[in-house]
Amino acid sequence: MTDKVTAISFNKDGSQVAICTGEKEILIYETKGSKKFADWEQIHILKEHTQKAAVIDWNHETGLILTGSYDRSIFVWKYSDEHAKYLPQMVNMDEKLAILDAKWNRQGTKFVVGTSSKRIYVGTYSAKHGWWATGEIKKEHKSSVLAVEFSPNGRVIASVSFDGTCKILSAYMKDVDEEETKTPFGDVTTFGECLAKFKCQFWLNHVTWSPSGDSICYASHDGTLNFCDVSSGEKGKIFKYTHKGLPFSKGRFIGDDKFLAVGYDKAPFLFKKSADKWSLDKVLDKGFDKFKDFSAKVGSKDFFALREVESDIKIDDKFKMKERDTKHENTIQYLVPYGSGELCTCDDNGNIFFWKV
Amino acid sequence: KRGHSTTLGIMANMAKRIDVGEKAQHRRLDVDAFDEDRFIEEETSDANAGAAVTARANEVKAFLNKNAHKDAVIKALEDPPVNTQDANIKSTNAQTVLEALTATKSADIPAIVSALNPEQLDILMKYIYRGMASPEKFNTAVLLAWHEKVVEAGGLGTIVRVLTGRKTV
Repeated sequence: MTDKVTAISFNKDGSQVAICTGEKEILIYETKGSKKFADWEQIHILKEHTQKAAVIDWNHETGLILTGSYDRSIFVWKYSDEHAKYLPQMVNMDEKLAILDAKWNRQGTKFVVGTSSKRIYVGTYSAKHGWWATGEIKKEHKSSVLAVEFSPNGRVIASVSFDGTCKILSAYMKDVDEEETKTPFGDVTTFGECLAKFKCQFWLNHVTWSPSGDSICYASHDGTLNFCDVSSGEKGKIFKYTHKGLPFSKGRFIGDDKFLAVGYDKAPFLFKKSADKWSLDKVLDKGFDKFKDFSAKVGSKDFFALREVESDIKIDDKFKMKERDTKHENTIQYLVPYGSGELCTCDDNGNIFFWKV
Repeated sequence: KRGHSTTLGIMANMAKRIDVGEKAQHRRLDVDAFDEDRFIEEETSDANAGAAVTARANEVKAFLNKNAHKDAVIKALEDPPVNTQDANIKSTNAQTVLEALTATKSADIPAIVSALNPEQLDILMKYIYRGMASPEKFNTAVLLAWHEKVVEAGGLGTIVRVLTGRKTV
């Protein structure tokens, strides 16, 4: 484990990984087939950002790395054989607030960015100028855009924001979207048009598409997962799953009928679909149902011993605080695919774990 | 005469120029209201809430007089007036619910909680916190007993939905 992980992304076969540990640099490691951070060997350092990277996306088709940072900038990194290192390509984006999310489309020909300034940008490569040119979508969201993702066919974006809305926006770019015409949204030819809007009670943390492009799932901070069938646009059916525990921060479809969600409960939850209803199948972390004593230290002193002495509230001797014996001891912030079929989660403490589904 | 360059002199001059008190009404302007980009919450309304709340209060009182605590609690949690902006209607309904809750004996609480579905547990938790906010009016010891049982049955999610619920009871 490292000190902290603020962004992580693996290459196509899982042999290399790009991590930002809260510093300005992005580090690329060779995993050498091991799942332990201690075995990984650092091979590159990407130095362009002036603040920590909030999001890294390593495209599996082109091998390009997209990094977005709190310093209001985005870079696309391409491996140069003659220099034997990653070189940054410029992205022409005039943004005044932090980047919160950035994703490639499946082919790696365009990317979408969600920012703190309520704007969404879609970027494509301009061979004439040698940089990535971006088109702006403003006025669609009333607050920071927390998560954006292209649909599998790349013509529309799903985006969620702090204002509690999930929107499906068109993002057709003429040079890039020629071949993809699989439904739904296969015949969209506009840019920046709101095709569907869903409103929630509280702010939304994440949105993701199913592999077929038929449905999306958006996770709200009040502990709900909303599965929405968007194949018929705004009138699609929404199935809302209300969670007994703490909210989810990220999620991912596995096939069209399974969904893995992670979040403040510190364990991965697997959901299965049967006949239009989604239900919790199991918790992947077996330690979730076991409890262990809660132990915390402040400097060298035990937390509870301190409280007994210094506070007016006396805690009964019989009282023992317990926490679940999960692998992750802090909120899981990232869920990324690893290799073929596995998933990787990392938390704010810097622990990285792998799960097979 | 060099009085104007002493500290006291400078301060006296400043006091004449800085507008305070009556002359400072411009300092009381809400500058955020002029921001075009500000987030405006949509306000909902419910015209029938008042009548429904009063009718329900009577039914709950009838149950309590017959010592039918479970029926009283379940009836009280029906249809909370979340959409109305009228604070009086919300207080009246809160009074109804909390009377039903505090009249229940601690031993009866688990049985009632296990009969509630997840939506009812979320509503119940909202009223528990509303009651705890006024300890001078409501018995917080009983509310703590209710709180423990609701968390056992509904998990920490019930508390999350109290904190994140935009529509308050």
